Amino acid sequence: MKVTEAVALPELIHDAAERGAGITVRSSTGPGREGRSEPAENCTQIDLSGIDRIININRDERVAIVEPGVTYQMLADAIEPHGLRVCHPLLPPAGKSVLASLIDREPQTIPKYHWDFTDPLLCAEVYFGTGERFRTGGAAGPGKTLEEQWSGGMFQKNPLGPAQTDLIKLVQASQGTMGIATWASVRLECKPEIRRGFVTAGSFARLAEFVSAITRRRLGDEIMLLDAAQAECLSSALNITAPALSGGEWLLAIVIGSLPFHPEESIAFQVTEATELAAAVGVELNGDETGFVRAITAAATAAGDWKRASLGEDFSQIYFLSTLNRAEQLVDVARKAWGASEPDSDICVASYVQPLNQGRTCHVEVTIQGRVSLDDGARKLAEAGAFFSRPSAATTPVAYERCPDTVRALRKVKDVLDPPHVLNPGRLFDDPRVEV
Amino acid sequence: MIIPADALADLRAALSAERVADDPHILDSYAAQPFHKVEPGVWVHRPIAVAMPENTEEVIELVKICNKYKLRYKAISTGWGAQGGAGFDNVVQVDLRHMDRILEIDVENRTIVVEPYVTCAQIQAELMPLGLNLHIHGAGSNCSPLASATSHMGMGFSSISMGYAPRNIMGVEWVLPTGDLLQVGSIGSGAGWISPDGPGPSLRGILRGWAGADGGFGIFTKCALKLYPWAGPSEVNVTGTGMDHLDVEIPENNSFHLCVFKDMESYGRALYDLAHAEIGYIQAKVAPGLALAISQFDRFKLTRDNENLRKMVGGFSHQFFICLQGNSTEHFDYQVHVLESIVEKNGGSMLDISQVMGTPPGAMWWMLVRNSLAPAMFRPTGNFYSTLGGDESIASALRQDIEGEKLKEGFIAEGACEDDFGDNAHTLLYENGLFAHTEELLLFDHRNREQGEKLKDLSDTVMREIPEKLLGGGGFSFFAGGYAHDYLGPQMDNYHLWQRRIKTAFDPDDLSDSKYFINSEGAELAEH
Amino acid sequence: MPLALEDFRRDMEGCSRCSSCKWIPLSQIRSKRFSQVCPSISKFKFHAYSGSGKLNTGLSIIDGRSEFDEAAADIFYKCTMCGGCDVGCKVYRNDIDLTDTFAEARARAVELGHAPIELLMLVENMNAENNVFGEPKDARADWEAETGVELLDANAEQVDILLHVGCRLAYDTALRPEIAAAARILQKTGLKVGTSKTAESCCGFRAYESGFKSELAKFSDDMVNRVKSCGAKMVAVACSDCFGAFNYVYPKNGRALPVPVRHIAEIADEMAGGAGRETAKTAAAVSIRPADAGRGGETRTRKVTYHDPCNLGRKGQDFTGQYEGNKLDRPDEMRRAGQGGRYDEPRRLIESIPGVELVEMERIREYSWCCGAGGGCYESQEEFSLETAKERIEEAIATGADTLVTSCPWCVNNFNLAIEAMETGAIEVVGISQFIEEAFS
Repeated sequence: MKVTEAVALPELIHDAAERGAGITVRSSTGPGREGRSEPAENCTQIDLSGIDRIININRDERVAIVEPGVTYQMLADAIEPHGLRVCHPLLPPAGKSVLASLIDREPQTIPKYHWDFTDPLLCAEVYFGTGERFRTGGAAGPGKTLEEQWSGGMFQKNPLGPAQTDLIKLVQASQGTMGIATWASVRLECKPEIRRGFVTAGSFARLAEFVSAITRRRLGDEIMLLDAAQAECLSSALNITAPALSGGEWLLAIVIGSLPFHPEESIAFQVTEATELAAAVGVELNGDETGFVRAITAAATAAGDWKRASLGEDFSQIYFLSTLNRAEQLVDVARKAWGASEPDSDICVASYVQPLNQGRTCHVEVTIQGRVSLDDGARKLAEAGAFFSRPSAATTPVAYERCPDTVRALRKVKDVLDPPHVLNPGRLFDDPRVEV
Repeated sequence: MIIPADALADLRAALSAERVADDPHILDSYAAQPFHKVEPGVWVHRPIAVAMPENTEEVIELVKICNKYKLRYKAISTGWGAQGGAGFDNVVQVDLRHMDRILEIDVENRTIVVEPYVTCAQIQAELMPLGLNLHIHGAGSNCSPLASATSHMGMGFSSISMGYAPRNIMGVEWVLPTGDLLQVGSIGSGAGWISPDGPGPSLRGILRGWAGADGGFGIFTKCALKLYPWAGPSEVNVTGTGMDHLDVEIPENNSFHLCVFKDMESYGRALYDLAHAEIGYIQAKVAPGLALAISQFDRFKLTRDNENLRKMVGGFSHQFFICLQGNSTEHFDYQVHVLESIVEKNGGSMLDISQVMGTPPGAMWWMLVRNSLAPAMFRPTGNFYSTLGGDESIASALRQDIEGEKLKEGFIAEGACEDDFGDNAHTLLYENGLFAHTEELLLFDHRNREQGEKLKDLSDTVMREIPEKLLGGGGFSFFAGGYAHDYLGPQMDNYHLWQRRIKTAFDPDDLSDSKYFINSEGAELAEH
Repeated sequence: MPLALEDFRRDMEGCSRCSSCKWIPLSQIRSKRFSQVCPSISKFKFHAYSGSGKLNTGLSIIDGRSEFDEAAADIFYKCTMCGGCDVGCKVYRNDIDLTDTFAEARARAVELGHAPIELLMLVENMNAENNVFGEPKDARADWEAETGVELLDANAEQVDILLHVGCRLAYDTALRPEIAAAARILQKTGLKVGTSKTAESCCGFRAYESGFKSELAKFSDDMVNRVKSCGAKMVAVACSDCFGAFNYVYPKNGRALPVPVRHIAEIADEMAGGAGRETAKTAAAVSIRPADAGRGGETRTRKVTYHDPCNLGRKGQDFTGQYEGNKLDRPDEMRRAGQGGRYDEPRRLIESIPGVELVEMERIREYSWCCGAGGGCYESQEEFSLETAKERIEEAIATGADTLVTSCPWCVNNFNLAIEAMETGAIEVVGISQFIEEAFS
């Protein structure tokens, strides 16, 4: 069901509650990729992609407010004249909703701006299962409308609150089970005048040590670690040439961007420091000769979903959080779990490690060619320390089996925010497969 | 009110007789909390017992005992302010002093795990030799970072480079109001302290808000916090003790600057430039009267009593302190260059603080890095209070500074607070300017009966001004008690309803002392 | 007019509970391990045992919220009265005097009969035998004969310097080398040095700190009379408690001695030329010959750490008068915040010795950790006193020093008890006089 105005939601929620049915929402267009659960049988899927205004852009405060249907490309284009940019996941598909990505807590490619896991989401307007509307953080006011708040100098910046509440964190990564967001304010960054791409190849351990050193200093903009299969996957999707890697090597892609004041000087000190830190761990920074780094750090791809473009429909993926000093071990667990570590194996497993949270944590994403069962591998990964922070349909049972106290607490929260259990019922912590 | 004998016996059996007290003198030492208290006088409610658990298991046991006997309880760690004391008559005070360990420092992943009674100064001293530092919140390095991150506020001088305390959480161990244990984030799944969120929705969403529950929502027993780089020496050579007598040499690639602007507009533009520039290790506006009072008290007194000097000091109102720290000489030089450009662009000046205030730059630098300034707030008059303010945009902070000053002039005129030269906004940037903090501080003496009695009216006046004047951030009115929520909630999307519903779901008997959180009083009325 | 607990109402009400009384000054914290300054809260944990908590307890009593009973007295007596809390507090506050408040609370405890029995015995000893131990008064000068030191009899002839020996140095046989060395250093001045022999009596400090304020008059009168009658131009002490008594407590109570009071560390330092002198000067001034003389020029390396006794250090400042106005406006120099303590003199002496390396502990000078013997704790809180000393020994050992030097016999004694209890041979404790004399011998 396509909805064009958020104010229609309370009635839809009440109707569904009365019918004992559920509702799910979708804001992006095009095929989904995250392996989310399909809606339950009696759920109505509400399409919010038609609500697609960019409500506000503020250069001084570096913030924009977007509705669900706004894609990364739309936002990037709109803020570019203001000298701003938005942090985003690795090559978001053309139809990817910014709001959906933020609400899903998707990994961002610029670790230095990733101060907290909620970033760059700031505030949001949310509808709960009671049908009540609520605006989180600084957007709660005072001031009944955004215009009224703006007149008081409020620009929906505080990501926490209001007061002693912080409901947005319950809505994020809830896959619509806790609330439905109908607009969000997003933190923007100054667009660098100069961007210089670098690549370097080497063992994961060395590259990780280097990444740890530069993220510690908040050096570098986009930073990504790719294994050969992942690099190949991206290059084939984008029709570009990936830097050559020898057996077992990983590729580090890094952008060093200028800062708003004295851009040349800012590039100079960053490159000097990065080069020295690279040399200290025995790796060398090389220029982005093929344009690979530039291509994979774009805000969106015209081609749509790069993973599909490369692998077609026939792939499986699993993703989790770890740390730079443990990620390689977990990738090995994954490769073993899906048979890719056998010498004569022709199974392709591609791995992408995204430093987050200024380098303290990383997102590890493993893509397996073909449709495979993920259950056993997920369990092995969890046992080895992988954390399924954003459970997919496949990883939901293993994610929640390990934390029964969390499940009990989340179910209590669900009873508060969605008493009739109308919002995407039976999913995540409420999945019948999760036994506590 | 005294504790039932059976409950006392159970507590003593669970902990040990030595760590549970019901002696009135010991109880009263937890009831003297004149700071951040709007009612006149020193005393809050006397707890009926004080219990000192040594570990999480003991915390669980004692919370369950409190639930069994329907006794309220209130945790305190380094506890400073009425929020740490009992808000009602039948409260067991849980003193977490025994839980004072640094459990883990993960240098590679820049994370630390601490118990409640470790202080920021202790941690910072341990971290500097490792090339690391932590965000020290506004209350100062004498306080517990766990308490700030889980339970109260979290701005600080280092916010520009190290953020807001609750956003630095990497996981929490939490004894819920009913005594059930909850490990928030990856630690709850046995995956270490690598994420505070998930699986799925983050329970940080109930653990606290922008402000913490101030002990009104269970007890936090462990917390993992983010660490940040320190590009200074392992140990800073400091001689002297008193604020006026510190002697410190600023190390290489570090500096302290006082940047002054001619008016609010140019100061505001400079703040925006700073917010975009990605420079700075420490930054804050400390109003000149207050800066003098806390670091050069004799000069403060001299200035206070001299009209010409007052005018001169007033000329330094539009300013901020900033400390730069470079990871390399090039990085440091770059930041100095940018700062000079920002100041020049906005018609400001970079002044030598030793000439303006008499404080050596090294001393001010170290007081800001260590954040040893906070208790000095009591020096001029014996007490202070935060009134107007909050965390939102820079525009909102600047507007509140103006409104706050006007409000305070009225308070000073009616004798509700002391004359601190009027302007006393404390404004700073978070996370390279993501959002901004401001609060209008006022100085008073709770021993002055008239001032003590006016404080609640003053706080309520501010509470009413927030919606009337569209002041962002929500203010600090709930420091006066949870009742503020029922006034402000309807002006702010009815957040109070959600706050109360969550409290009720997890603490059905309202036993985790909710004087400064939200309680069931008025709940039915509010829901309708 | 004598002060009473009620006179400290503003101090007690003024405490904001920032807990600066629990820590060494925040600017000085160098490790978690050695960050605390208050032995009482460190041991007994409940807030009531902190400086702040004792203020709260006093306020509770004068507000009529609780009785001044034995439980209250216990809180005030589980305190070494070291003044560490005062230093921490006064980094920030002009208007709160913690130890002065505690002293009045203890005085109230004595009035109400709640002082610990051991302290009643101490006062009884002082009254009966003029010393805190209850040893025969006739034995007070035995140390002279036992050490072969001959000082003038100040009861019989006029002297330039009256050495007040003090109870601990007079009776503790383990400290004979310390008092003898102090006497010999004084003799090196070439001035006439005498003692009151068996007529000397206790300075009264321990009774005063324990709340027996009225006992001070008798002992101070006696001391003033003896000083006057012997014509001394200076009183010398080798005990920091006696130093604190004469230099601060007496004048505070209107009973100042008519001549200056100097600690042996100050005198020796001055003899050697004070700041900026050369090592040889110290050797020449206080001793016979440098340690390496005649040993083929080889210098023995000794790592030494120095412990600041409370009453020579942070409480060792001269009494500068009682401020009568609103203490929020009290001038710095009238606060007892550790300024003016004798910190540099003993350190200069130690550092001037060839082959000696002074390594500092983390808690030094104004924010030194107490030895645990003060405030009547040595007498009435044995376990607490010993644990406090052990904590300091651990800190001293952590420096890598082989010798712990201090300027107070009470500290030396308590540290030796701690070392014995800890069964450690890692460090040796030596009094300042003995140390400098031995080092140059």
